[in-house]
Amino acid sequence: MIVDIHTAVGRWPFSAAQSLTPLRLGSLLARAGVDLALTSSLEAVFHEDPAEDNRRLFRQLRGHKRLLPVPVINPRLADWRAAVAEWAQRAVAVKILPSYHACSLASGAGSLGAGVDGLAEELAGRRRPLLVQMRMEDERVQAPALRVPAVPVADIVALAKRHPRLDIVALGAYRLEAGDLLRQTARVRVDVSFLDGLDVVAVLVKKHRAFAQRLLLGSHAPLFYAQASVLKVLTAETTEAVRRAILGGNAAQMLGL
Amino acid sequence: MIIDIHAHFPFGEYKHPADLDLFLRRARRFKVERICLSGHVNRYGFNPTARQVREINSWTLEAMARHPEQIVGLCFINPAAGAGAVRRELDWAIARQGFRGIKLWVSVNCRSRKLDPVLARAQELDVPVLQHASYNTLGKGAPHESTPADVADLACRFPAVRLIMAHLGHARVQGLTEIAPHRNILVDISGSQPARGLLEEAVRRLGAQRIVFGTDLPIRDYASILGRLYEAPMTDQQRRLILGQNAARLLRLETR
Repeated sequence: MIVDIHTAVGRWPFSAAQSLTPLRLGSLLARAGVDLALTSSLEAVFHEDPAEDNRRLFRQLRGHKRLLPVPVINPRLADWRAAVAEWAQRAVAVKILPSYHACSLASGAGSLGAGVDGLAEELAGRRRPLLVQMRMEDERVQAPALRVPAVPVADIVALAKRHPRLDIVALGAYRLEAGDLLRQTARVRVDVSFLDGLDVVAVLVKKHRAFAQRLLLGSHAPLFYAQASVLKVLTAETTEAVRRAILGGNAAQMLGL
Repeated sequence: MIIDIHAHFPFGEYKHPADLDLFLRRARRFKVERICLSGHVNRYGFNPTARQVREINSWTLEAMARHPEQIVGLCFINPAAGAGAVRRELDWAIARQGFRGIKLWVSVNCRSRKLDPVLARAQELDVPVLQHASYNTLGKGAPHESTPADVADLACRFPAVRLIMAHLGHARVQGLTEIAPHRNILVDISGSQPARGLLEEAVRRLGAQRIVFGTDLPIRDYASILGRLYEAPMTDQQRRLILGQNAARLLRLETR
C-alpha cells in the first residue's frame, strides 16, 4: 500500500495551477500509484481560526476512500482544546503550520508557544501524530511581498525533546535539514516532498540504516507534482523492503492503519 | 531519446572518477541516454583563472573520454578572464576536443560586454550557450548573477546564437514573459521544487520546441525533474520534444 502523508485540497493563491477538488486530487494521486493520502485544507493555512475549513474538509472527504482528512489546529487560539476534542477522534493525525500561524515551537513558555506544548501532550496521550509543516514553498521563489520563513530544525528538535512520546512528522524538510532532524532526534519522521539530490532517498538511508524507518512518502500535491516524490522512493537504489517501508509501511505503522 | 542538458561532474561530494558511474547508473534507471556535463563550476568560486577553467574542463574531457556514448561536454568559460583566454579555451575545447556547447555561470552578468567575445565565438562555431539565470526572492546568489531579463538582453545582442536559459524553476512567470519574445532563447526545466503549473505555463508561453530537459544533477535528481515532465498535461509529441528532440537538434546529436 502506498500512503502519501502530505496532500491538500483547495486553492493555493500563489500558483498558476488551478484549485484541485478532492475528486481531481484523488484521481491525480491514483495515477501516481498512491492508495491512501492524508489531506488538509489549503484555506486553513491562511485563516487564524481554521475550524470552518476543517469542517468543510471533513464534509468534502466524507465517503472518499483514498483521502483521509487531517485537521489544521492553530495552537495560538486559547480554545485549541475544543478543536482537538472536535477532531482528534475522527482524524488519524493533526497538522500545525507554525510559520503561518506565527506560533513558536522553540519553548513551552511565552504567548507565542503557549498552546503548542499542551497540544503536543494531548496528542501524545491520544496517540495521534503531530504533522509540522516546515514550509509550503521554496523560500527563493515565494511571492516577493509575502515571504514566510521555514520552521527552524532546532525548534522541532526542541519540541521533540520536550515530548519524547509524541510522534512528530516534519513536512517539507530539505535534505540537510532532514539529516539533522533524523540525527538529532530519536523519533521525528520526515517526508520526502522537498528532498532532492542524486538518489537522495538511497543516500540518506545509506548514511544511517535506521533512517529508513523514519522516512515517509509525502508529495505535497497539489502544489507539487505527486509523481516526483513517488519516483524518488520507487527508484531509490536500496532494498525492496526499505522502499516498501517508505512508500507506506512506516506511515501505516505510525497511523495504525 | 532522453538528453539531460544540464549536469555537473565532479561536484560536491561526487569527486572521484568512479562516482561518475553513480550518475550513469541513475541515468540508465530513468532511460536517460545522454548527459551534458558543464563541469565543477563553483570549484574555484565565482571568478576562476584561465588555468582553473582549463582544469575544470579537463575533468569534463576525462568523463567524455571514458564514456563517449553517454557524456557530452559543455565548455565552462569565465568571460572575465579576457578575450584571449576565452578564445583559447573555446578553440581547445570545441574545435579540438569535441565539446558541443558553452556553459556560463555567474562570473559575469549577461549585460556585460565582456560576454561579447564568448557569444561571437559561439556564433562562429555554431554551438549553443547554457546560461545560468534566476529570480530569487531572498536576493542574488552572486554579485553578477543574471536574471531572465539579463538573458533577454544578451539574446537581443546576439540573435543568431542559441541560448539555453537554465532553471525554469527559478524563472517565475515574469522570467517567461521576458524571454518569450526572443526566439533564440530556450529554457531548461531544472531548478527549485517540482511546483505544479510552471511547466504548463512555459509550454503555453514559449511552446514545447523551446523547452529542454535538464536536471542540474547532482543538486537535483531525475525523479524530481522527470516527475514534473511526466505529470504535467501535454501531448506526447510535446513531451518528446522536451525530453530530447530539441536538445538533439541543438547539440547536433544523432537521434534513435
